[in-house]
Amino acid sequence: MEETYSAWQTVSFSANSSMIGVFNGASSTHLIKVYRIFCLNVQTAAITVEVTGLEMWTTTAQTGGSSITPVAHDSDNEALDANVSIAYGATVTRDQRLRRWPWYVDEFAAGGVAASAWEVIPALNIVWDLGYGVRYVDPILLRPNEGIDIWHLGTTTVGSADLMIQFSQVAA
Amino acid sequence: MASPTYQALCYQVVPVADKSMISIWNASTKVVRVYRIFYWNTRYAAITGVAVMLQLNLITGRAGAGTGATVLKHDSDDPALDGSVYVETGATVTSGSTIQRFGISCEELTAAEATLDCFHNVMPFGTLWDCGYEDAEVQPLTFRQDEGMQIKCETTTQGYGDYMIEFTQADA
Repeated sequence: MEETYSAWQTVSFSANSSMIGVFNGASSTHLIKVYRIFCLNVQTAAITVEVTGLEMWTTTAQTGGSSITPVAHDSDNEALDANVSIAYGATVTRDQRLRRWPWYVDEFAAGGVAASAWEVIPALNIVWDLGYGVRYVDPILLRPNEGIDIWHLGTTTVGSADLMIQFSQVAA
Repeated sequence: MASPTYQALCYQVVPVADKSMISIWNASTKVVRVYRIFYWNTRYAAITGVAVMLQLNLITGRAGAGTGATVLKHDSDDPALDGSVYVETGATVTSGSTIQRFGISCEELTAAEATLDCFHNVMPFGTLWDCGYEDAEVQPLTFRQDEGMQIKCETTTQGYGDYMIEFTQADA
């Protein structure tokens, strides 16, 4: 079993920006395996609906932004390598696009049937889980100087969403 | 075979702001591993529903008891749950780090609708947490002595729902 961590953050939409990113720095002595990423609608206050887009990218650099402290799944886990950065709103250098999906920025209503209501169901909003539970498929492996990012490609500046990345850390 | 496995159900839990809807606190010397957490909407009587936010938090203390959950052993030959492992609703606990948040609807279920309140009556859609389930490499949430977790309600509202935690107990 690999030492696992979850990094969660509520992120306001901002035009063409990094919603959440993990970057394994050049001096890291560990590998990061990204198992699952969730994107959930948490907007309860009324806003005007907009349709925007999210993308998942590999990255070759990540600087700045607001740091996110992940939660270790076991308090006996070793500390996360100090060269591993998890942030939102960071400046990233995107390399390869892995996937793209639309996102409906709207509050979810108690009696809602719209996409914004479907966006609250965790089981339906795991936007990345390749390698999870299937031993023939590798999770995304981040070697030193590699990262991944969830990128907001639209111009929407209203509303927010919760992003969560679940990953493990193993010795290189 | 897995360690002795248990499921704990708290039913018809009424949401209240900052209430611990369900919690597990390990005051024993055993190790408790949480594999799955569910929420299901079980409200039939008519109410005016609202959108509700829940949090999955670590907890760092338990100052007061709540109402104990109904705990079922998956195998009647398994040992009883340690008397110092508390699964409750309405316990007085100290919130720690947030791991993830979830939106739900507290509206009543109706027979001829497919609204958000009905989504949460579909068993898989009620899965709030299943990390480490079906993947031997990913750690479940692991609680050693004087550690635990809760599902906390963020906002005051009405209605009720059922909460279930599936977990194992093992020697340290």
